Amino acid sequence: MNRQYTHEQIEQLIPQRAPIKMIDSVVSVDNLIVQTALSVQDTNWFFSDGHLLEAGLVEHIAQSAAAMMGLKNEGAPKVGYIGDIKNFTVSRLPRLGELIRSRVTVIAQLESVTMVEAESKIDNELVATARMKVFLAE
Amino acid sequence: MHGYFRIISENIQGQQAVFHIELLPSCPVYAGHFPGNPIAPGACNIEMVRQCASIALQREVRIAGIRLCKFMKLLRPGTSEPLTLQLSWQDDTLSAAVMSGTDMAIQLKMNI
Repeated sequence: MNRQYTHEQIEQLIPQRAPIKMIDSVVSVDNLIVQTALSVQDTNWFFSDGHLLEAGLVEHIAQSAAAMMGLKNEGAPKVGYIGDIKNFTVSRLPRLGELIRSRVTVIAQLESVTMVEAESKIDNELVATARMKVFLAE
Repeated sequence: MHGYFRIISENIQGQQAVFHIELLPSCPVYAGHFPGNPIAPGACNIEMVRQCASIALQREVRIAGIRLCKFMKLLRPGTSEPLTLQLSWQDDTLSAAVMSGTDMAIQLKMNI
């Protein structure tokens, strides 16, 4: 199962809505890997002084993981939470107009807890990495 | 991230600081996180820590990395007690703890 989702269709996968929806498109998604994109706009919740803040990258990665988890759940997407973050690195802040492409991979899964590893790139430049544990509310 | 929190008091001494903080239920972010179910986004709390660290260190603090960040309690604006944020820093390491009443809500260790 490998699908693409447009801007509007993403609302079938994640419960986050404007102003804190942090994915523009899901380029591909299956049960183990999701690839997403976000274009940095000045209307973004985490936009400040010409850049997307570090926390914006965190939220973008978390919502990318949520999109993958949403694929498995029929109907309204479940609310998810970040449980913990490890080894998050930022090499530079994304700038206005840049396109962030992220790849999030499941490294472990146990019932409602999913552990993921993520890489975010702008063109071929790695700008952020992270390991994250995400919970789904029952 | 305008209107997300309000600093009630701050006390900065040496390489430590304590902030008392109120999360503001009127913040527009809750329209989307989540509709009809306002829960403070973890990422917003990370940005809140960064902004308070910038006040304490009297410079714009950038997050080079997060070694570990644990979220231990869901925070709902308006219902949670005021938060206590404790910061300490040395060289390029900043540690933060956010308490909600007597409950530990967030523990964070970052490279700045």
